[in-house]
Amino acid sequence: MKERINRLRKLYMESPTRAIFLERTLLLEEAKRKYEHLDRGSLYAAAMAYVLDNMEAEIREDEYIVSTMKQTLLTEEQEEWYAELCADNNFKAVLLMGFDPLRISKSIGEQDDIYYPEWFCSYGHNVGDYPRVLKLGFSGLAAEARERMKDPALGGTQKTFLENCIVVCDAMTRFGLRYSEKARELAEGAQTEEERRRFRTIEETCKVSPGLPAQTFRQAVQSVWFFHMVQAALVGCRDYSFGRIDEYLYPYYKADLEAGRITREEALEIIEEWYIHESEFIGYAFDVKGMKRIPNYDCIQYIVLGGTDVDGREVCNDISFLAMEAWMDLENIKTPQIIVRWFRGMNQDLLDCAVHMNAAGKSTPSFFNEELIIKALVQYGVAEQDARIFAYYGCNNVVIPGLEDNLRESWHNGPKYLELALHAGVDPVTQKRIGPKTMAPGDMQGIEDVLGAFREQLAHALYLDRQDHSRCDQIWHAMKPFSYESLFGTDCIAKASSLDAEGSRYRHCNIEFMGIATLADSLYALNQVVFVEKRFTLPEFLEILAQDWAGHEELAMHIRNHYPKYGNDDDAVDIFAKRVGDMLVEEVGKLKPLYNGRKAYASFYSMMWHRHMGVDVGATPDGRHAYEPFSENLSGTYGLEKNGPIGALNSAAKLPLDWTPSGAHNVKFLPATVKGPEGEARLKACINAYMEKGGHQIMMTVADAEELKRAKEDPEAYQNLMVRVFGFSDYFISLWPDQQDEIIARDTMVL
Amino acid sequence: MAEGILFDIQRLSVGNGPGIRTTAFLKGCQLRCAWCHNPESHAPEPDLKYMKNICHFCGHCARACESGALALRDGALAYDGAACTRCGACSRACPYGAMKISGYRIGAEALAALFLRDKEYYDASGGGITLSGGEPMAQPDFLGEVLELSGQMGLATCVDTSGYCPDGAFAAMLEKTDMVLFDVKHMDPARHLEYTGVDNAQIFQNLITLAGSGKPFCVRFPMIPGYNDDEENIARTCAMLRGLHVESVDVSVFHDYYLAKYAQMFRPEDAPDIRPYTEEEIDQRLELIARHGVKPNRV
Repeated sequence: MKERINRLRKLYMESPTRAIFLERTLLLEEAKRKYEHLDRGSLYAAAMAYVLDNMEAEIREDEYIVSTMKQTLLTEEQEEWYAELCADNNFKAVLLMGFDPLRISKSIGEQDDIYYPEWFCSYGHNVGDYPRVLKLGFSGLAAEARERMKDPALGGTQKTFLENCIVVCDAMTRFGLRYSEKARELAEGAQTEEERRRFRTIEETCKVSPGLPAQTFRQAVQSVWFFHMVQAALVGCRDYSFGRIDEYLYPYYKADLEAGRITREEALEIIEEWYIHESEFIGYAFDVKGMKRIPNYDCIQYIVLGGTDVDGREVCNDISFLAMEAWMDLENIKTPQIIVRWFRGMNQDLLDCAVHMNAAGKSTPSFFNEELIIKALVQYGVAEQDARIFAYYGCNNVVIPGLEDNLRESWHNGPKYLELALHAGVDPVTQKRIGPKTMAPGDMQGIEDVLGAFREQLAHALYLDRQDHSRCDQIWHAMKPFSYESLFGTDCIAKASSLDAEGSRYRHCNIEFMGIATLADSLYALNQVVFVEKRFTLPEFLEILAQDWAGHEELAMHIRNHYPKYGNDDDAVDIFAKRVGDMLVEEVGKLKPLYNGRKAYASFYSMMWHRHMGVDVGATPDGRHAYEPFSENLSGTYGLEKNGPIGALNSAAKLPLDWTPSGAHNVKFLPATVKGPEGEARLKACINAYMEKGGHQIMMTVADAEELKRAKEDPEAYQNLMVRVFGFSDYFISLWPDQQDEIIARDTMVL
Repeated sequence: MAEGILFDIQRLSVGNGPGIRTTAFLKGCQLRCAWCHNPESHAPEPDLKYMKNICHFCGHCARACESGALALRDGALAYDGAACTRCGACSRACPYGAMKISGYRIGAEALAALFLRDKEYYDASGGGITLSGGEPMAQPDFLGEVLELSGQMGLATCVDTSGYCPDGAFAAMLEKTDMVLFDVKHMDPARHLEYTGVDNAQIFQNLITLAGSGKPFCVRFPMIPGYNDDEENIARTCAMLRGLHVESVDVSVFHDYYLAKYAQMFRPEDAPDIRPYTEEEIDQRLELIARHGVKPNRV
């Protein structure tokens, strides 16, 4: 890593956590007062142009790639003013996103200390058609809009939309030129030849970026950075992704190489600087000092590498490798997270490189099974050539870049639906009826009756979900007749309409269904205890759950330790996961698209909501105590995946993953499994085999010393960690404390 | 159909042959190596294992025991191995999973079916299945049937053996497996007898048969401080291997993680008292092996 890059990294790491992008806040407030009389779309465009024209074009030491949010610490007085401002202006994601159709969770909070003016901000979460804007430049885009304006058939709203496009495109062009101008001034006063060269480079680059079509790799990266920085930090929200950078940046790099304008090392340095700038606005520093109060706080930004293009040709080039090398070189960065599109017969060097990063404990890249994702998208009605260009934004949400509007997702508390099914629709925690009145528990004769009631509860929640999204979409439609994101919509200028209206070709909502393992384990246990072993009647057993196992602790432990658990490749319990999974896919499939064509996509995903939403669910039949987290994503219950990664993967592969284009499966590997070239070969084989078996996504973590320390403190929660040395194997928790310490200190490789 | 007894099955097992493997550990072994790290592999019958650190001392196990082998006394669990019938009632009664019966019987077909579940992983990695122990050759009928069934399913097979078995049984096994892992413990017959309880003549006879069979095989050397790691034994071992045209040896370096295991089996006093190596000592010995013309692979 170059010393310059290291200094830039240091600068960012030392930035104060409490700083905000004050300049943006002040300028937006000024702009609002100035343009309040305009219609919503024009207000947005005029305000955005105002901010772009008045933001300081700051060029910091050591930078070659310019433009960032300026970070300022507030005085005490300003803090009060800022708090009021947020309270008065902010949009409520909960109201606008239809998060939780049954309104079960009380824990969904809002970031009330971040300035998100409702008239301006979006919900983020999108991947734009960056390649198109790279090719055209904002001036080219404006020209297209001007051309489009000539169409006499356009309606008034359409014309206004195009006018707003032109306003913002022109402002973006001016924005870049102001950096060029600033660099020219600085070059004149530069003290050293080196500095002068740096400023000249910026001057030349920003003469082109982002207004004109990029010609070189440096210009292309600078343009992409302008696109993205403005989107994430200024317009603001989280989790925009760069999409398939190796596909769209490689032509610029290749042309430079051929013309002798760039070396591979220089390209690596450009990418590294880009990553550092990106890390600056994900909301926290390397050492997680706490989240920053910026629009894209705590966000994850993805890049997508590899896979095949729209014509089925493999995308694998030097940019794919440089993108990973930069990550390894920078060490300890959090962003971008890398996604590799896996397919049968993919370039093995690319796969090896991605596997190597994982074996080194980086927990990135994750892998998506291209064939399966395309199949799923096509099944949901996406045209195949459009499905082929899929990408992802955080967290693990599928998107067709440039053709879709922003994320819609709702969180479905699977274990709560079982609870409702077991109480005829009444939430036993609050005693309120929130589900339909299904069969009384006393009348249930077998597990099929339970599953039947569960289906009805699920269907009802999905129905409410549709209502929510219908309402939300109408609000968004009215609220966002124009958005900066629409400039990156492939069809928006042609349709003369924003992504939130007719500018998007596809719209979907992810039905994020949580707790699949908790459900499978619960259904198995319930069936066993009540209907097979007949230890209790169902009402008796429900009373035990209502008392949170009080007086029956041993029963809970018995269920936990003796009954089969999802995540171990045991068909006896996995069949329940499959039943529930199929049910979800069927019920989602029955939903009619919303008025704007928005479809629902099934997904097994919890992100961190299994913890937040676990607090709303009482004890479950799998031995879980009330209000504890439930299982995560596609994984088994914590500590109960005792057959290692393959057991976990085989259980998941039984689910209908060809209907879930989004979602994730975290798999924990032990260090001994992945060490050395043989270990990496094993890891690679695990990915290949899981995908062959119908897996759709895999993200890997390698157990580390911190985890072992926790295991030592809490052995019952970590019964799955095995120590294996050449034919010897034992549970980590059974080792003697001094040996545990030894392994923690220096020998995690035996795990 | 033959039935066997196992004490463990590991999926994605490491160090028991190439690629991703599922390894079944067959219970029972005629050898009693002074450094054995798997005390539960010795007896051909089930054993009881007790994990004290997750025990709640509730006494359910003792109450469930019909033979009076378990008793909770002064906050500790007392066990009478002679009275215990290994019926498993205590294990079923323990809500916490602290009591486990080590050793379960399984039919050859059921084991082969279990192996088959991970076929994609073997195929993707050049892996397969390994039968280890204990001593797999101590259950020759079961072993043979599992090897045959696995072979029919297209799974690559491997046997990990001490080599202590009659010529005929060894040859029959060789017919059915794709690969062998073979332990060499000590060159000196008297020392071998002293440290393992058996003579090494039969073992070397089988190793010679193996080397001449054309089957892929790998020699493994469990390296134990003060037992077989002196220069003389290392030199002799290497000379013998060179004579068989064996170029490399897997060296499994002694560790004492077994201490807890002997305690789990209620026999802490039987745990070998051997001081583990320092990293420096390991390196010295690996160098020694290399000096004697055989490439050491530390596993």
